[in-house]
Amino acid sequence: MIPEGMQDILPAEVAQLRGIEAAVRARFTAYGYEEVRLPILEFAETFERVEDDTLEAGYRVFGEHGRQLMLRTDLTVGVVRMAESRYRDRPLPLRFSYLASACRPWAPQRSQDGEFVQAGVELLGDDSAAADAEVVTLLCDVLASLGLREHRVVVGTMAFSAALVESFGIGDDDEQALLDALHDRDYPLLETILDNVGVDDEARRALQQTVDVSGAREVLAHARRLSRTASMEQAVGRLETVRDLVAAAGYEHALAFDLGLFQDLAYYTGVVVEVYAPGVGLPIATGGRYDGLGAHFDWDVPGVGVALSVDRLRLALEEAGASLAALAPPLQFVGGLELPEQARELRHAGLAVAALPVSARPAARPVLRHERGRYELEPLEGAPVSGSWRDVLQALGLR
Amino acid sequence: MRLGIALGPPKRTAAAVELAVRAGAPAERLRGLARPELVVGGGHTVALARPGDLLTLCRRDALDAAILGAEVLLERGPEVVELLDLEVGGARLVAAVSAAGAGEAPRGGGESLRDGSGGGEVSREGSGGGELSREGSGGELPRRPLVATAHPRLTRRYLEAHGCQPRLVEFVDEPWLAGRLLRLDLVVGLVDEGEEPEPPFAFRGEVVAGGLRLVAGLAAHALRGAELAAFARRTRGAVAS
Repeated sequence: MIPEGMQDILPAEVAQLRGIEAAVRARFTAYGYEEVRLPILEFAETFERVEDDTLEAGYRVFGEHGRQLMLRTDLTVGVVRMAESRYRDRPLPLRFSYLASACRPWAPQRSQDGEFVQAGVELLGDDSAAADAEVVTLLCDVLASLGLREHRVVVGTMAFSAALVESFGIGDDDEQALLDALHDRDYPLLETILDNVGVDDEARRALQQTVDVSGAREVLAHARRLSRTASMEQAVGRLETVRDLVAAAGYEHALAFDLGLFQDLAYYTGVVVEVYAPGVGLPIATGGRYDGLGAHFDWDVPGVGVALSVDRLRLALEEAGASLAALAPPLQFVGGLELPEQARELRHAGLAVAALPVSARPAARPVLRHERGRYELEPLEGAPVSGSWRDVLQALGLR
Repeated sequence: MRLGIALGPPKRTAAAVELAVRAGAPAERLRGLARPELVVGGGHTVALARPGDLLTLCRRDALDAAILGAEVLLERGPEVVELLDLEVGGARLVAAVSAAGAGEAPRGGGESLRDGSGGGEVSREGSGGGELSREGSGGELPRRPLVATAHPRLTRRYLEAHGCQPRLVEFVDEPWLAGRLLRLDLVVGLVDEGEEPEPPFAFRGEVVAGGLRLVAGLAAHALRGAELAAFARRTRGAVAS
């Protein structure tokens, strides 16, 4: 038995995950992101200082000196914490990648596993739209390299809606209520709040159209027409720059824009991104700009990043019928424990060999048995072969 | 288009099916049904199912959209896009006692909570606001009442707002039948707007009231937004007509 929400990942699935992870890592490396490994346990206050319910709701334990520790609920916070303490005096920007698990309370209704693996990048110290575009481009590149075709990389910005709501001049509480409804994508509630706070018709239409605006290139032109303030113009201009740079890298076909897109985690401030693929209801990647996160660690450095959910990515590839790497099962070498020289020869030739005692009864092929100087090979497919060691090597295509 | 329609109290289910039909979904065969059913054909899929199942199916991109009650979203959290308040299919989540049960035999054995308000229902969407009516009961509710419900979060919030720490017995479906078999202090279940719980149950308070909503899965919204928007427009038109 294992705790609810945790999983044992068995060899066949691990082989698929390793294939995906290798492809993702290769793309991260190609863009100059260096991999870091962070502790699974952090001080609870590391997450508490970000003031986000999702990040704080983690599994907690007490350290030997009574200090409260927490299994990490997020990798981005850990990377920023690490960069602040180890790279504070280094020239910016900094590029880090990670492939690691985080833990949050199990919530099966929301398809939230207790432990989940994320592969992500963080670009710290560059607040430009070009940095946003690099992260989106890298994301598109990763998905293309894995052969995922019918996905959508949905890009939005928290800044546009926030500037629009601010332009209403309705007071902090009502502003927050509107932003919460936007965040929850509860559009009926949004309309109710608009009725109650009494904004003018033009403002009301602008907000309603903002949440309706999603799709391809024409969305940004429409958003420009909706812009009422310089901040809104600026937010749209930034998305246009991101679009142009991602398009120049060859990935415009994968992009969609959604001005109603919000992120769950409170540290996101600007451009946000989510990736959806058919058959997987929740995003397979999420990310965005988090310029205020460093300040929680007394380090005023902007950042942008994205994280792929490796498990959901595997599901998306499976749904798309993409061929997932599968490792060949090892050769079950009955009697191999007493024939280390032969086992070594096979392994050096590139074969996976599980050496077994002579009494073993393997349940699955391929099997190689040794008895009184003779060998019998039952390959994965096809008829058995009996003969000398030379015959075995020949049958295995090694000589 | 893959649409889900929530099973619920009879009038609400009928309203949801009619709305779907008027919006162009091939849901005619679902009229009058009170059990899960699936209609597939002509490039459409329409599923009549429990509301919680519809949310799960939307979240797993097995359905594009669903018509379900607002209380389900309050109970199970969002992670869908709430497109329209359909303004039909009103229903109430109500707290009720069995006339033969709780008032006479409060459970828990501990201190009782006495309410001097004398009754009268009050409701507030979002739960926790309405007062527990004492009408038709012994006027006492244990501090730790035993409560059957298919809406544990809303029920807990409502009762805690009334100073009770409920011991919940969770059911998948509305617990009216279970409430006749178990000895309970309260049953919290859905009834159509304007209806009272059927005997032997007596109304005690309203947990939440609301109508039907059209929601979309996050993935469907991102991947098939134009098709969804067109269906939402047709549904809005059907409501208006």
